[in-house]
Amino acid sequence: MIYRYFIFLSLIFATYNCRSPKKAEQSVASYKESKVIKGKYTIHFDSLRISTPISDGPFGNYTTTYTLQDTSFLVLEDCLKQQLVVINIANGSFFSIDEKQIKCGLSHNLSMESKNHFFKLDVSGDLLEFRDGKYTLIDNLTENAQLNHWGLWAGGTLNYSNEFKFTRDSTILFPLDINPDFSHKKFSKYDYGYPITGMYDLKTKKIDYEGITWPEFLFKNNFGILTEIEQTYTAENIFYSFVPVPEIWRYNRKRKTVDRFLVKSSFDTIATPTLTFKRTPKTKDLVFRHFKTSPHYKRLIYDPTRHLFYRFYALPVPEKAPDGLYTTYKDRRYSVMVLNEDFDLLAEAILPDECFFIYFAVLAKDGLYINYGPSANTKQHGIKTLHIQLVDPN
Amino acid sequence: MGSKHFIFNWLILINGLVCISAVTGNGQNPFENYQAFFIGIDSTVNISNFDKTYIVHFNFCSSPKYCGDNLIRYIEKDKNKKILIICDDPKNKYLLKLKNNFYRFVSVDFLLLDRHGLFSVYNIEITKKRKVRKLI
Repeated sequence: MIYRYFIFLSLIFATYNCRSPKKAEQSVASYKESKVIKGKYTIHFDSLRISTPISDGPFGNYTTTYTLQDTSFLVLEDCLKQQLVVINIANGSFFSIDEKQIKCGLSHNLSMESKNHFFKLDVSGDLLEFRDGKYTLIDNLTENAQLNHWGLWAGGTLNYSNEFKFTRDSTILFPLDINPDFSHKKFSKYDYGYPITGMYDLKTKKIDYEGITWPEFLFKNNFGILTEIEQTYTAENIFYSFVPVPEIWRYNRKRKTVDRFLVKSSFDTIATPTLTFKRTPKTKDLVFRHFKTSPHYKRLIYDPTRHLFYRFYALPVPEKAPDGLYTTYKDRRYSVMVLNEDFDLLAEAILPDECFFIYFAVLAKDGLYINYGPSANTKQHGIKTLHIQLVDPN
Repeated sequence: MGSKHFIFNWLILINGLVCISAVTGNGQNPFENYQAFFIGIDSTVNISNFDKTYIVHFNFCSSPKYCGDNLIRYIEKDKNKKILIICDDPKNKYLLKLKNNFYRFVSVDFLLLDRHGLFSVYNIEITKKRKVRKLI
């Protein structure tokens, strides 16, 4: 009897240990796997240093970048002088915009039409229009969303990697997030399936949402602070780039269809691990350790002139360095992937050691510019940029 | 019966060895690790000479309870004590508000602390009784 009981226990133990590890829930069947087209193109790097007029914070108070008529600009906010400083990345020339009438220091993003006409959206949801030297408040998109009982936060995920965009049909596309103060409303943070892209019609002043909703697999798998979807907008499409997994989803605004692509870096050999514990204040250090060591994808930038995409891949970082000491954020290495419009990998290269964090990435007529190295003392040392170009040796 | 005793004795021995290695295997406890680190970079800094030591990262507030003004209020609950503040910016605006105790400020590169596995995302309190506490 005891013998049988022992066999029964052994079987349970063996079954428990041999079960397959839990994987991220993804419906891979419907994905288009991108190809790797090797050898045709190479990536060329060169660096440039430009001077900046202000020194507060990282890159002044770095706010955003944008491309206007093939020229790329870096926007810094100088709260002491209450002005935006707009710097041409290629030659360092700059101009400033008076900000005395509006709040300074709020994280925001710009959608530029011209030097004298742009839209500004900040994290509180204030949408402002700048025209001929003057700001006008158009609407507060967060309040507008709440009037619809959404409990969503317009501009809540505005940061250096998300944008908002004024489109040809006089609508504005912007990222949405769950407003922690209104989680009891129509969309709760405890649900997946809430919208993540807002659409504001400037003519009717009506707010709506479009694109995909928060996918189930990101809700069910805990990727810590790597649970993020970055959004890139064009007139026809919204591109969703997932930080913890290689996928990119293309939402066609006219047809309202989603195409899924599996866009893997050639250095991607291990999946971003999921957390097995709950995110609480007490586990914050473990969540940061997971963030520090785990591989992930960052930023998707579309180049409409050359019909290319740029995407970055953060390689995994070991817990300890070869000298036996612990690694830090400075040990992170990134690769840059250059993709065609079908997301086939044309070329990929590891960035220099100094590019351990991508603060900005902005397009110009001669390629992509990113920050090269740390951001301290920009007034004294200027801003060093890395210029990334896809080269066809033939 | 004899074999049962034999197995039981072995189990006790193995258990004992595991306990001993758990205590001594990691070398020093966190207090001693911090103390050795600070003496290594500045021989005049000995955290056991202070009533309390705080390792503070004012530019990286990750926890609202012991952050910014809240942290200052917490430190100032003590009166007339010898307190060591280790931070990356001894000229930080929050430090100017400290007045109830005798303070010594020491500047440390947090990257170096990170390299030695001594700093987490939390601010740290070290008491004279060698207790290292994460201020969550």
